[in-house]
Amino acid sequence: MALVKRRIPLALAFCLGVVFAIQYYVPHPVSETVLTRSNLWVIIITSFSIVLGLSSLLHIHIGKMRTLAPGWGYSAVLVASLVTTAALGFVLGKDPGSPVFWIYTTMYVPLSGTMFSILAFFIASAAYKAFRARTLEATILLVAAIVVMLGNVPIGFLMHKYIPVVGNWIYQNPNMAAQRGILLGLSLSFVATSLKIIFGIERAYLGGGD
Amino acid sequence: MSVLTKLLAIDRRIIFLVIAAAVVLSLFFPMRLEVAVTPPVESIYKTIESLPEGSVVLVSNDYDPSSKPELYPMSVALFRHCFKKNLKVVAMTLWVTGEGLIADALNAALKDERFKDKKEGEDYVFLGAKVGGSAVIMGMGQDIAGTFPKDYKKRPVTDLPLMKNLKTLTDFDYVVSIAAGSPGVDDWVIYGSEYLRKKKPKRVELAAGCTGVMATQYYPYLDSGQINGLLGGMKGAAEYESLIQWKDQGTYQMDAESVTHIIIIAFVILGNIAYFTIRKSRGNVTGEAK
Repeated sequence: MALVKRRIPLALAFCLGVVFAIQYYVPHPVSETVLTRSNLWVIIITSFSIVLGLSSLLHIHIGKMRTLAPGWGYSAVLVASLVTTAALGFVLGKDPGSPVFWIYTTMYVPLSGTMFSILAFFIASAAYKAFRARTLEATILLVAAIVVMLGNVPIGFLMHKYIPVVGNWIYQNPNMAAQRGILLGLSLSFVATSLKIIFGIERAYLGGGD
Repeated sequence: MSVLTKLLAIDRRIIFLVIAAAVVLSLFFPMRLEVAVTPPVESIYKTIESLPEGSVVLVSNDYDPSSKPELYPMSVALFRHCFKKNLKVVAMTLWVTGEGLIADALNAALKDERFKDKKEGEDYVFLGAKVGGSAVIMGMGQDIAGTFPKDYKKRPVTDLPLMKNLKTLTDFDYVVSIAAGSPGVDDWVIYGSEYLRKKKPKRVELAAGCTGVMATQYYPYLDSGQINGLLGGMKGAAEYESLIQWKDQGTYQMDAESVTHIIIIAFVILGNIAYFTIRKSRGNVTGEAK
């Protein structure tokens, strides 16, 4: 079992990691073909992850319904919506004019937008409660935030024509410098983690214990 | 002092109510304020203006309905600008949940009388959604028809007149990634640029559009020239609409954003005034007690 669950995946990760690291520097047509074919495999495997997500979702919510756990009613609505939409999609398609397209435009689009819009209210409340100029750094942050917020709306331009200019300067200078530092750090850690995965040091993706 | 203490301890539902009222009222009583155009947005506009008629622009709309208010107006404005300039448009998305939205955006752009002669398959194509992120981009860098064998309406891509001469990413004249996260702009910069710079004598330029919250992290790409322009959030959409002289949702929604920003700033200033006033009075009381 250890062979299938650990050794083969580790060997695959090592071989494929090394092959594709070398492939990047080999301009030969065979190397390009290998990359093209592999990309298609990645797209196919990624599509299968939807099936995995779906089965996990159904397992959790059908389990809740079966045991009548708190909130099982919401699980029933979720499963019913999922089954109905999927069935309609398979039978009648998803093109404009189909029931699935109608469900998408009249339910999914407004509901998704609503969920994301809730953030604005929480940001306003959090800003009021927590944004205090207690230290010099907090004061600089507060002033910069106010200038950027005003610079991002037409009212800022009306108040003074240089507010958007200063806001843009903040974006393109101190913000850009800080973001570049973060990006460099992230990229280096990405390289380090990738090497650890290739060499089998990082094994979290295998799941389970050592 | 008790008024300020009560102010600091205000129920957050009152804050929610004030924000909601401000947004609703600004939509019913629009101010139609002018938006100042910034260089990153102007750069995208100028690039599209400079493209000769018949050039092909690839727009990768990588978002779903949760980012619709900010990114949908960008997509529509870009499509309108391309159609006005008689450029060809190839639209796609890396987010499956955004597929219907992008089809809707294309239809919204094409509704105008001026574009009634635009033919699908000849002047524009919607390739639909493809899962795979960077693998899709790399696949398009080598073989577009292999990556997207069929378009959104399930027609073979090789049968579409517009796609006959578009074999790889280097066959496009401009690429714009409008994204709400991953896969999105980062994937286009990291993986797409590899292919886009192979075009001779001049590489294919890449531009980006994103939500306001994500705009800050793409300025390094803008500074290094990896993207030649950036549309940041709803304001970016409003600026672009102002440049193409076609005001729509992006501009109309800015009124609500303006009022909300002012209210949040007012709340923050009020909170700080109340906090420091109370702190000072507590300091005075302590001093007197001594």
